[in-house]
Amino acid sequence: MGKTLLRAADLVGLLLIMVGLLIRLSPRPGMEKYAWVPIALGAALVLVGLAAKYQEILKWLRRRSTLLGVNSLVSVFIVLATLGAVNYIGKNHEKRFDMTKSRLNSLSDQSITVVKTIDKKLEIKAFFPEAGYRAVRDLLTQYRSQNPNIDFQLVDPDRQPELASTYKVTNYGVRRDPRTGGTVLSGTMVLLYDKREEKVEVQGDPQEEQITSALIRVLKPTSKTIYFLTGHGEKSVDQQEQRGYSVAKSALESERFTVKVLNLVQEKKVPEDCSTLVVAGSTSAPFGDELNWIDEYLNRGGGVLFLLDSPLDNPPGVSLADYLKKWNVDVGDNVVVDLRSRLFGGNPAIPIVSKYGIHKITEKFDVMTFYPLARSVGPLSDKNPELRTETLMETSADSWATMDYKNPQVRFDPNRDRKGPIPLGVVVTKDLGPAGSTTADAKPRSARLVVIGDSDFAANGNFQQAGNGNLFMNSISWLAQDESFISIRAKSPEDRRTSFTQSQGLLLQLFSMGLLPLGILSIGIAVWARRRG
Amino acid sequence: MRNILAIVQRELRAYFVSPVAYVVLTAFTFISGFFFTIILFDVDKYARRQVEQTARFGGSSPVDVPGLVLSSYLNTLQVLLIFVLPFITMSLFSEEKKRGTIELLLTTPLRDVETVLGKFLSGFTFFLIMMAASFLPMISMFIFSKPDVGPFMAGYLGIVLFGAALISVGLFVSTLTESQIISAILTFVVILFFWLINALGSFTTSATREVLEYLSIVGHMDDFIKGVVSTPHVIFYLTLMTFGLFLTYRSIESLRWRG
Repeated sequence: MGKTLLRAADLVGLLLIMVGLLIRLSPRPGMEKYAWVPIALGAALVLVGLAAKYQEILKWLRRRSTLLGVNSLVSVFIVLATLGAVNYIGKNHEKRFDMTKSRLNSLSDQSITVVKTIDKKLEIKAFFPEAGYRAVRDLLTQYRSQNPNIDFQLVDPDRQPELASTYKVTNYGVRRDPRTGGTVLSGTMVLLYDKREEKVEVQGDPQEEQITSALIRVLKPTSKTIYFLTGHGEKSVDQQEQRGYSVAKSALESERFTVKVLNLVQEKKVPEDCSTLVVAGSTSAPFGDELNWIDEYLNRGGGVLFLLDSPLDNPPGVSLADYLKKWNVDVGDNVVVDLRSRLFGGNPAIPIVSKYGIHKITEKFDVMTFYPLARSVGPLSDKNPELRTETLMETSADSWATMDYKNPQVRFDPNRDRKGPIPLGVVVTKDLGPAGSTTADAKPRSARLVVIGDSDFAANGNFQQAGNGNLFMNSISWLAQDESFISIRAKSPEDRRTSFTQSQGLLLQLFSMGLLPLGILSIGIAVWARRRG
Repeated sequence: MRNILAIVQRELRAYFVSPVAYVVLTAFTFISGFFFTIILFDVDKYARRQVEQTARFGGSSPVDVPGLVLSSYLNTLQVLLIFVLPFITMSLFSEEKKRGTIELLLTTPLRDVETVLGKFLSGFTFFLIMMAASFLPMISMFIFSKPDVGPFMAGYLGIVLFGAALISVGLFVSTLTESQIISAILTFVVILFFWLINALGSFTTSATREVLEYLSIVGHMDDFIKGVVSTPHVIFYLTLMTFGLFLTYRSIESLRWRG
């Protein structure tokens, strides 16, 4: 009995080792330390069992067939290991050939250009729920296949919360889309390069544009500077109350812009390093010279964001209407009333915009924006052929612009008021030709203006609501000619249709399910019949 | 080389003389034809609905009908092959073992390598004939539409590599037993295991999960079906095929000294 037990010990030992390995592989944290007990015990039992059978083992080992068998096994392992190594190398040096005509599954040329410039290790940590891994991995693999310096890691924040908190990841998860009923995954990607970090928050499947934009930003060694004009009662970037612009400043800095203030009266010109000048809600007019300096800045390829408050604001906003006329902008001396706001529980004095012009700033905008106390800002008919003026956004037809803004009655008067849709913002571009011959690159420059009839939409109290913050950021990016603000259109398949009639379809069905298999069967029958005959 | 071709010729002749080949081919062609027509009509219906929606609501939603038909059809073929290929490979060596002709085979001047390759190529050729038959309905896509040729080439390359790998696995299994039925069932179980292996991944750590996902035979087809030829997937199927053939060779060789 004892001898039988001893001889069976090796089998029991193997079982224990398997249990130990299973414990070792368990995803529950802290379980690995319990694994060594069954493994060690199992190993000991295996030795005991083998020792109990040692004579038989020696006899078996001496057999020729055993030696040959061991030789075979060893060769199999060597071949397996070699093939495994080949697969490993192949996986890390992937080459992809996209055979589709529209290159649906490849990166765009813009992305490839950016990716090929990466000369140091760049790591992307993708924090997504596991259900989202597939789409993320497919896309990131395309980036990695273009440049082996790129590596990525997929992390489920619920399984590795410490890693998620190290990178302050809060945006991830699964939710239901109320419009379609489907699930929408969200996550965060953290790009790490040369001690710099760039975060991208993703709703739904990650898009190539988001990743490439983030790559451009993280690869940039220097940042662009945004100046906020002061000295005329503008909104302050340091003010943290509802009407301040400290949130806008943080948002800009998180996109690696540098934010500074500019007192033009003191400086007497807009600094050379200014990428964009923001004039946010002036309440007293700039002096003539200041406007000339702004013109000078614009004419050397600058970008200015004018945010003009309504005459009903407290204190009333300055319209700069005369100055902006020569830039083809018509600034109304009015207040926009929008009945549509009431549908969303808002005040009619806070117009809502959901219709945007066709412009890079609002290209993929499908969110609403709102403007507490706004004045109309639209294009003047094009007098100056050098200028291109486009409406950026307008209110709905249920709105109007009234010049009788002191009257608290909210009612449209056709004699007095201008019926909606009312434009609330414009974009002006002036081509300036290439830069001077002293610069190495002759990139074509342009003067750019964005004029919006309200500054409160981007104030602290409203910045993070609806699409307000996005509109502000997109405007700044476009004005700063920030190349990370690029739009890569999502690729869609080409339209290819079939054209067959009902009878043709039936014929096809007959062929596929009838003629073809029957034909094969008849050949078989014929062959069989011939053999018999 | 000549010896290998001789084996291929002999095996194919044996295949097409027996009713099994025709039964398998007929059944496969019928089932794949059946699925093809369902897929085609489904996709066509979907495309027509999109046209109506576009006419009514504006916007545009392009539909690549041949592309959609191709990807669904290839996915279906993959699943069919998992069931059908064991029937192709079951007789390759099991039959010889049962009849006792395997000893004869081992004593001929043929080298084991030639025997293995010959058997493999005969099974592979039969598989290619099956694929050709399954492709015939797809020709309608070229008659009734203007498909993008690239995904067709990538997709069929993928399925050919997929088939080659599975045939080599089936070939090895058929060297282990005399019974064709056991050979077919075992092959099916092994293939099923490599099909579902990534499901085990949900119980393990991420490193192991990546390895298990990599070993899944269907995971590697996705890119081919999308129209992308990606080197790791090609390498995977080729190395699986090589390993299957190597195991077959070792198994045949061991027959000599196993007695």
